[in-house]
Amino acid sequence: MALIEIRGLIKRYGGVVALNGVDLTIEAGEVHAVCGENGAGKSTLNRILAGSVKPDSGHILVNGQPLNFGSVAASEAAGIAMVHQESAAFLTLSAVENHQIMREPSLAGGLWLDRAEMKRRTIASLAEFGETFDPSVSLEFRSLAQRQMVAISRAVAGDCRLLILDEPTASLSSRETDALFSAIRKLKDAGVAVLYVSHRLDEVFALSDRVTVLRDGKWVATQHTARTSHEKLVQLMVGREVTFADPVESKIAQTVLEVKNLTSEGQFHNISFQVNAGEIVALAGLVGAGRSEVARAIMGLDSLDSGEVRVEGALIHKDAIAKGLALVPEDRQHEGLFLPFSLRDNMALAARFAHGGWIDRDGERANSQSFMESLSIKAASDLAPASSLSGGNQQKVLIGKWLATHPKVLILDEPTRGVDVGAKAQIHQLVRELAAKGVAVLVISSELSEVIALGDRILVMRQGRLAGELSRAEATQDRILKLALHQKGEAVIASQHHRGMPRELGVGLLLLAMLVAATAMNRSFLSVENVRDMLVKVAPAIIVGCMMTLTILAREIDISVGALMGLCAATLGIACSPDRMGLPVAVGIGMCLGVGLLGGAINGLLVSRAKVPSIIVTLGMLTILRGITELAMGGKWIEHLPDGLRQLGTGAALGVPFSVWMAGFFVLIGFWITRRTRFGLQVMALGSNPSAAALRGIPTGRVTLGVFVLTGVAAAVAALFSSTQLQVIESGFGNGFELVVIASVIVGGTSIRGGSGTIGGTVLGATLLGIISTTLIFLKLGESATYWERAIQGGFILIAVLGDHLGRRKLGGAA
Amino acid sequence: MKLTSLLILPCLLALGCSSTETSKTSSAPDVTKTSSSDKGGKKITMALLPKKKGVPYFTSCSEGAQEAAKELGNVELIYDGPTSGDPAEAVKLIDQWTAQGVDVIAVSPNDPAVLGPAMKRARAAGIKVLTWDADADPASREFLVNQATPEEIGNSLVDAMAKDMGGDKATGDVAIVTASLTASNQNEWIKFMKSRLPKYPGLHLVATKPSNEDQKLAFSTTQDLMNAYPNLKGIFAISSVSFPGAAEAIKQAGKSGKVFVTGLSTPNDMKSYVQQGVVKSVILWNTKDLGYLTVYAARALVDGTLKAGSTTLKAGRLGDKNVVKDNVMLGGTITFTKDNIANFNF
Amino acid sequence: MSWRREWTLTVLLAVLMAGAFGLEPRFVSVKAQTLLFTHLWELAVVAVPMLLIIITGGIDLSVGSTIALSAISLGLMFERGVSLLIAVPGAIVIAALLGATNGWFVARLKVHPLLVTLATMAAFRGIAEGISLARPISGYPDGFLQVAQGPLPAIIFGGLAITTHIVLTRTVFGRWIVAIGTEETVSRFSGVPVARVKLVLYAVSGFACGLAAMILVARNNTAKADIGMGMELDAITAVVLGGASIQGGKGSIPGLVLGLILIHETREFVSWHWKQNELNLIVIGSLLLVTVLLERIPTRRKLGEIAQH
Repeated sequence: MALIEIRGLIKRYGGVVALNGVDLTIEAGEVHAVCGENGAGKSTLNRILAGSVKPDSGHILVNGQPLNFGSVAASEAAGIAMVHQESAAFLTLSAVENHQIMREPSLAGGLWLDRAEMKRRTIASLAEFGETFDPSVSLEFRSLAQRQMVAISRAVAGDCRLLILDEPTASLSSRETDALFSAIRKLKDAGVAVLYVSHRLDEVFALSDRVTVLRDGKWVATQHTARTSHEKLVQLMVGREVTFADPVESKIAQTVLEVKNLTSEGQFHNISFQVNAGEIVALAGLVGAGRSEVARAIMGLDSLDSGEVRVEGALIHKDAIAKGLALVPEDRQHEGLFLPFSLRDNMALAARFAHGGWIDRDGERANSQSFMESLSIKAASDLAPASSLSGGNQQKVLIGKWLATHPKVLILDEPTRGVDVGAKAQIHQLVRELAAKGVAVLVISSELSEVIALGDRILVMRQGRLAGELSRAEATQDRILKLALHQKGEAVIASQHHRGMPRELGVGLLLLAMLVAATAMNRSFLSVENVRDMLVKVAPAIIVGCMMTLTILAREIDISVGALMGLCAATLGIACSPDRMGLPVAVGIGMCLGVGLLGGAINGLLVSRAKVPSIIVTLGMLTILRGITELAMGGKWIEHLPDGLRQLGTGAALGVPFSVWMAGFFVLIGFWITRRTRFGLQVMALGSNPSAAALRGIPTGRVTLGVFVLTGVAAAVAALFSSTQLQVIESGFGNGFELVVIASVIVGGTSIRGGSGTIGGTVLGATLLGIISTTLIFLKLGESATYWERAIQGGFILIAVLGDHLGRRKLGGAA
Repeated sequence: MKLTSLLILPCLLALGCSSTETSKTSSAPDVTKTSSSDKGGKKITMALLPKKKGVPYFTSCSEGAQEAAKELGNVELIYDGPTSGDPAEAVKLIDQWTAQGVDVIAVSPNDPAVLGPAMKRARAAGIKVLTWDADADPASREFLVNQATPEEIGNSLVDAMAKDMGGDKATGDVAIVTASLTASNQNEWIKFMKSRLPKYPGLHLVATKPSNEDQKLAFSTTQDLMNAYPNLKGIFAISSVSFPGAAEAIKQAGKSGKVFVTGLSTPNDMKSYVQQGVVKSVILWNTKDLGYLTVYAARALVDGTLKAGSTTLKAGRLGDKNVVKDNVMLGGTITFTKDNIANFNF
Repeated sequence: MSWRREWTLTVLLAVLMAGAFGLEPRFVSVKAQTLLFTHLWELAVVAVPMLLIIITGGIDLSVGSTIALSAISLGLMFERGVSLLIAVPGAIVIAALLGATNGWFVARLKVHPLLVTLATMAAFRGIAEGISLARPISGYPDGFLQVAQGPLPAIIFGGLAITTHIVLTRTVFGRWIVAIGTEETVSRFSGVPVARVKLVLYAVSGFACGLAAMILVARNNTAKADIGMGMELDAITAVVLGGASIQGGKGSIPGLVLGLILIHETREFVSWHWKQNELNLIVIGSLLLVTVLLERIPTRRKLGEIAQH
């Protein structure tokens, strides 16, 4: 019986059929390659197997058992694991967390993570691939290859019977590729099946036992690799024959691009070379050797420590495009194209068709239509959004965008990455034609065959330096590799990333300085009474701040907390006050917490279900809740709270007020959630990379709902302990508190972009902001200083934000 | 082209509606107001604007006003105001009432300078305007219903504090917890408080701190002041929001009778503090009577019985009230103490 | 580009005005509308650059405080005897500089705009309070006060809105604004001067705050440190209601204008008819959420579009 049997799989997206009745059988212990042009349905097939996409019809049998569709957990339980492309990593999380998320060893169902065991498992798993780096550092400080290794080792750890690899070598060096291949062979020997998706046919032939070709969502053929050929596969994929033109010897003219002594600390060093008109120079090297960085520096996109770039003798200074330089970057989605924009707009953006700032619409139309024809771009019209095109056509649009600038120098960074075979040949042909027209071309590529096929000269980079130059006649794959690979005894380039100083440090120092100054002025600043009063003052901000930290970690924000606190306090007062409903205290507390829970849940549902951005949801809720509070209070304040209730706000245990105990409790809860629970890890992952979180099967909707509910409950608790400190509850209670809380979290170093931040930082931030006004009173700066208080507070927030930001930037290098 | 039609549509809509509207109402008698006398005894609409809606002080005023409107039977009372206390919002309401064509507007100006122009616009449209609770530029209104001038309030506060602290020879530091640094009424009072303070050479004003209309902030600021100034003996909490907060801070610090607090607030909000001895005196006036009197004054103004030169005004259960120049006098501040506070319910 | 939001708003506005005509005919008269509209302009003026900033994916929380500081600058200059002919442009320039300060932090230091403007929101108002000692500064000549009564504020807004609409739809600069909000890195790689565009937009926001401050001072006859409080949320609400995406890359002037009118008319009508200011809070918040939610109901055509992505 086959390990996996796929029968009649159909998947439609609206009117588009992505998979149209695919049948496939995978045996245990085989490497099964899947080939096809972009849009052939490979990714959809992978995703169905991995459980992140649900098919419309068809079924999959694993060892004869039907697979439960649409659940990553079910697929993993059936032994199917997938290595996603590098964009699916959680960069702000550590390697351990990336490796272990969704399968964390824990007690009590995710309520207490066993972090030591998580680390042990990760180290053991990485060791199988010969990796020995410290896995507790954030992945953003790791190389692309190391990130990939984390993903692969994660996939095969545990009871894996089918491993799906989607373009696994795209960012690996050949040494790492070798390590990966030997790992795959080891898995194969252990009886694991591997589904291997790649555009690199060399790898398919080196590795696979059988190969299946898909075209337009349909199965075309499955063949034994040993009994087929390169040409045959290409023909099956494209549906016709493809010919790669032979390189033509081009005539060398005068120098156009001149790069001299380019240096950027930690990236590349002393790079000098020239490219002549009509010449194609290939820049080879391993991923991470600094090739793309050099390209960006030439374009003036990154700052340089030294060196200069000249085009036809003219020095480039922030005017690269105007002087005739063009860069086709490697990442189409994030560097190359505006996916929601039309082809026409995309191809007009760099060239700027304009008369004195006014857009020249006729020029743009003529431009895009001529390129659609000359580059044979397949699209409905030039007004179709770029996102509707296949990868190869997108790449052609990207090249067209830069050709429109009439470049003298064209730099192409991985021009055929993720492009199918047919388009690849066309792109090669195009590059040669451009050179023939006199354009100086620099091609960066990790594919040795491409380097050799295109380059008149080949430059090889290693560790940020130019390691050597080969002419077309000298160039062989072996020679290039020898230059590209790290030599024994050579100094390794300093790691470009450092771990920044702990975020809390700056805020902590500022806080300390303030405490020292105030105490020096007035000893009674540290008196028992004042310390207690200050703690009581910051307690509500800490209670809400801890949960707001979770919300911001999840890349959301809640600006309705102040208004929610107001409504919670009003509810409590109206329920318990003998002048109003006079209900028992316990009922009032329950209602107060219930309102908090409900408010948080409404926010959470609107964000997670209706997908409305949280700032809009909570902005709307902010005003709605305020209005409800005003109407409920009916123009009167709550004047009498029962004594039992007042105890919450005024009572103390062991000399410490209840509200301070509660703040301490929330800090512990916050630490516990962020450090020790599965939920906390999911919050961090969601904030770090939302789309990756969905791919990993993290229940993103539930996590989002969770953080808002927790924030709502925290607002209710803060209202409970803070409003009962006072005898009178006014309708304006909690007004503007959201700004205090958000400022506390941010000053404490939590990133507004989600995924990184700590509870400790929030506590320091809340304390710092909370006691500024007390400190100013103690400093006795006189009457007029009162008027400057708000300015001083604003200044402190600014200093904290900037200090943290600049400190991190300096230490973090160009990160 | 779609764009233009999108923009034009609402305009057309508004114009279409309004043209039919003007033709319909041009014959209506209540559009043009020639003089006030033709309104005598007829049903009128009166708008009562508080500085801030949703606070007990103004709510109790509005209760007095409702009572008067019911008694008179021919006054339709609108009580509305900004819940934020933002004077710009108050201006919007005055303009709205002007557009609605109410007969009389009684304004408690949160910021006289800001509200003045809108009040003048209302008068220009033939609407009677009077101020109550606080005054504005006399040119923008016809009468003020005067319960106490800022000077009286400032003096009463300082005198009450001195009395609480032991009379003329009272000594110690005092501080002010105000509404917000920009609150114009409070700033006016503070001005007069500062000129009254030299009467008691033992009192030193050490700080003026804002509470930004936040009881919690008034509470913690009072705590900070007491901790930072060991000789602090008195706190003026001069807004109805900051007063209970300050009193609570003193109570919780166990400094009742050692640190004195006085200010302005409704007796109901402060009753328990006065009875517990935390607060010795609360300064205010009878807010219900203030609202009540305002409605009678407004009615009389529309009827023409209250006009320049009037010396008395008949005001229902309050009897005859004095009119001094353009001020209708309610009759001064009341100091609520342990002995009398139980008699008041507002 | 689809005009779906603009149509939604138009329909809502039509329903509102028809309802208002039925319930309160006088509300829909030209006279009432002209009077009520005088209060819209300062918010409208501030909302235009806010739209541009939100299109780039940024946000400016400091607008209310910038207005206050600009107004106070005018007041203090006037008080010291500086002619209004100099003081007014001076105060507007100061506001533009304050905006540029935000822009410098955002564009050059690359600090998140939410953080920068949260801090300057407190700092600018604080400075306004500090230099004015929280006093009101009044006593401007009648000629200046007339400015707020006449059609000038409406003309300022109209000019600003039309210019912005043209810039956004017809110029390279406008396309850069949308490009930055769509994908900032791609913009950088395409040679868009990202930092310069942002700097200019935040400075323009400051400039508009300066204009709004002049309108407010002239209307109130007072410059005071507490003016414009909370205006940032009103402006953001109008922009979002007008169909701009808070994540950037999307937004239009016709949408914003309709959003502004709808908020304005709703507010005025609710307090006109129900005479309860508190209701307005609930109505405006619900209006925002309902409008946004209405568009989450996917149409058939939309489903097709999603599939292609």
